[in-house]
Amino acid sequence: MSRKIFTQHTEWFGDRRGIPLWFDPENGAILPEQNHARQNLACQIVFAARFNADTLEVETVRYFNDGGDTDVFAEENYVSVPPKLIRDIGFFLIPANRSWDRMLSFSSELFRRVIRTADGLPAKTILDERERLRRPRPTLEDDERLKPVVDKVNAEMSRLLGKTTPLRLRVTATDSAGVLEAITPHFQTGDQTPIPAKRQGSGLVSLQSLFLLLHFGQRRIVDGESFFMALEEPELHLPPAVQRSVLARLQALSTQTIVTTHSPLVAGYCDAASLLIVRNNAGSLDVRQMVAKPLAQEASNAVRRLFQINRVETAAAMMSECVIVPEGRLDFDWLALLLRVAELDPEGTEPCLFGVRIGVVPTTDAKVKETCEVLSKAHPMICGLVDGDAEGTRYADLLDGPGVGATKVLRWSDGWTIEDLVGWIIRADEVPVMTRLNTDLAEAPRDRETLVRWLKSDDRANHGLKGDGVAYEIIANALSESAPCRSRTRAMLHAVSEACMGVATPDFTTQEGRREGQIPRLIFTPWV
Amino acid sequence: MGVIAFEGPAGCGKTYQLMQELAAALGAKPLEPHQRVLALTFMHGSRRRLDTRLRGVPGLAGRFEAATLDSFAWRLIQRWRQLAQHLGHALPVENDFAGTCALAAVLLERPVVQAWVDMSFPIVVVDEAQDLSRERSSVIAARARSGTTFLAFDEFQCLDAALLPIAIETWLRDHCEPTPLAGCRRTDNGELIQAARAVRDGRAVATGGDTFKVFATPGHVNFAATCLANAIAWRRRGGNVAVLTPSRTGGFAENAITRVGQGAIGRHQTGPYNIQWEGNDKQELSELWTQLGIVDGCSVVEAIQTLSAHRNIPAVNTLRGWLIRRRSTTGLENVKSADLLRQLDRTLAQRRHFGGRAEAQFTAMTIQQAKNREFDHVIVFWPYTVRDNPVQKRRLLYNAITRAKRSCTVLVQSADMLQAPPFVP
Repeated sequence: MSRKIFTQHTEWFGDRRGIPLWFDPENGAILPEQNHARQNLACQIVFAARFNADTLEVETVRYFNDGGDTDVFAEENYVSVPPKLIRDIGFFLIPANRSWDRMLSFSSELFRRVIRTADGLPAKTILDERERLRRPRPTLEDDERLKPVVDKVNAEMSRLLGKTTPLRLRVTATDSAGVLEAITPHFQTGDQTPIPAKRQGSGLVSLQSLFLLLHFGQRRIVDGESFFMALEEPELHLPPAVQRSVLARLQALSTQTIVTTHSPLVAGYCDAASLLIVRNNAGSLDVRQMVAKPLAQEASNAVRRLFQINRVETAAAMMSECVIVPEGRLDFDWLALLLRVAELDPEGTEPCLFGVRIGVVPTTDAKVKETCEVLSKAHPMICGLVDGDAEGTRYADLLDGPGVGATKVLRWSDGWTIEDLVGWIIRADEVPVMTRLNTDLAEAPRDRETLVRWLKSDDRANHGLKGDGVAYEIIANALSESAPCRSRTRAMLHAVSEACMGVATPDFTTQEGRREGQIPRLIFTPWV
Repeated sequence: MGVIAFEGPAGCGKTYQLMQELAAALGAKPLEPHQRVLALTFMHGSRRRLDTRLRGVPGLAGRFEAATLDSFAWRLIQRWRQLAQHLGHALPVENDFAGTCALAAVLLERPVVQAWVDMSFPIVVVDEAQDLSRERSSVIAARARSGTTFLAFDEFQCLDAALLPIAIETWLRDHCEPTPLAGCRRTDNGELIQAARAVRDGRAVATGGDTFKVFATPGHVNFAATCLANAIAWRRRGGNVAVLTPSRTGGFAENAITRVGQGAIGRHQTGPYNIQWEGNDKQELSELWTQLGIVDGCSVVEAIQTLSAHRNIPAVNTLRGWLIRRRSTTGLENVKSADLLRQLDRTLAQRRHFGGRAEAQFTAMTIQQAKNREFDHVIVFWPYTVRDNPVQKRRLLYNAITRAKRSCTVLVQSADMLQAPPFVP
């Protein structure tokens, strides 16, 4: 709407319509008066629904927003948005509980609406088909097995009514509405017989249906109208490889695409500034932008990487209840591997909620503070995770600074880094695991202490294994084959998740003597 | 574009002129589909009459909105509350009319609000503008900076001394020369026209006419009552009757009306006549509230039961629906009587806005309540207790006389009052 002044949009603004507002793309603010040329004219409409417990009905209203401080159901003083306006802007919602073969038929309101707004109703063909269906050759009632029965019915009717109303059988109701309703999508592979959509695998059906909708929408855009597509969970029924290309098409073919998702792949496809993280806090919705605005040039590399190259991992972490910001990429990799070890445990009876609750961010360059600073704007529970050495303590101290926003910080035991943690897990079943590793690793470390030393060193000439993905996989594999190691890993990760969530656990000791304004610091206490 | 104003005595056809101007303006430039005409006035009664008149303008059916200034201003600040807050203004409470209008005027000064009102209401019609307070006039003034404004007023019909000099006239001085109107369209009765003109001009009133009479009814209440009963009984060609008085204190009018209701009276044994006092808004509210007898803090269930028992009263039925809905939306369990009373007030105001009262054949009311209305026959009770200055007394009497279409009888509480204003200079 930005090109015209608001008084030209008489359908949208005025006494019985909306109040003009201006949207500032710089900071996402909505303003009642324009004070900069970059601000775009906007109209805010609200959709609200409530369940009326007295009548067991759901009431809905769609109204122009004059200020979000009143309960429209209690006060009833709102200006409602005419349905025509919604049609005019071409807004289409495809819900998550879609069944494509039903959506893609003329009995579907959505489908008919799309076709109508695109002026694409194949009226002539439908009428021709109706004629053909009315007078089929040969007819069912003349079938040699049916005819004797039909004749008897006809004779009976004529005796009763004194006139002949011969029975005719057709494959569907042959008024035009009936024909429309009977249209069923089919899919054909090669020269094989077309198969009805409902017998087809969902992936193919959903893709074809989605594109059919999109291309009808595309016609609107060609005609200079808008087409807004709201799609719940585009990842449904789609193989991961296809999800991204589908999203690309969605974006290309509609004016604006609004997508809800549980898939980090889908989320990672979008620009971080256009991602909103929606959380349900005991019934009240908390919606925050992943990053407040497009990253400025001066944003540090570490922060930029979070939202660019690592955005899928960041998005996945941010969808969790609690987010851990470790010191670096290696900690991220180790935690991911250890989680796999824990989740592979077939007889694991002890709970391990780490995977369910906790997301780990791929921090780089040890920028724990900067990462926490950015992410805490979008997420209420950010925990730092640092080593037990002097550097780790320094990073932890930085998190106490104003505006960082981390809720607490976890620290490994004194002197520990993540590699010491791995060594500690091996100790649970040292002999068989080391035997296994001495065989599997390219060079046998012989004992646990040596292995840990190698893991900490990136001096490849002297057996350094730091960052060696293949070695990590081999170690994780060895751990997962040992029941005591699996169980120790589970217990450790569970303790981390409990500590993050603020549940008291004997495996983390709260550091005493923290001052007012400092965040809680919890130290891991290994057991034997 | 701009402001066009009409000024003239009661009944001279100011509203008629407004409608003529409006029709001409619409003929020259018809409304766009999204546009409507906004008609504003101070009181509910004149709003309803304005509404009726606007229906008569060709092509305007469904394309206008007649509102009281207060409700227009309230709606404006509600809809623009984000801007108001953005500008640092607190929203006034619901019945703070002066605050509401003042804020509406401030908002209308903003170009965005101005443009928004203009696009919806290119033409604004204001009737009875003399009754507008300074704040209400400021809304009109702010709005009139763009678009077209047609306005009618008569300074002499302003009965509230606190509003003098009237704000709208002060403002108009800088904006347009009002067109003076003369003549009388309400009545063609020469005596009534003469009498009204004499009072307005401050000359002596001719007391002994055929359709306009003034006489003193000193002494016993039966004298005034008999005159009242006779005036009703002997009125020509029937028609409705309004008993008007500048003041109900002292009982001059009240006692006579009560007596006339009790039985036939006088040598000719006229009556009885049942004359209803028209309540004012506050009175109506408090009487209805007392009748309901809802206790503060009682359970919603109890309150709904009480309201159900009085459902035959339309406002109560509406209130009951509101309370049921309220319970459903907020889970309310106990009633705060202040909330309920405020909602009842709103409901009554809404009903006055849209419905109006049924017009009885014989009614009694103060001259203030009769403002801008008309009746076939008017009987004025002029008691001792009018304390205003001579000009204010003339304004009151003038407003009473000009309510009459066919006859007017003025009963004065003592003979010597006839030798003082407003009857003589």
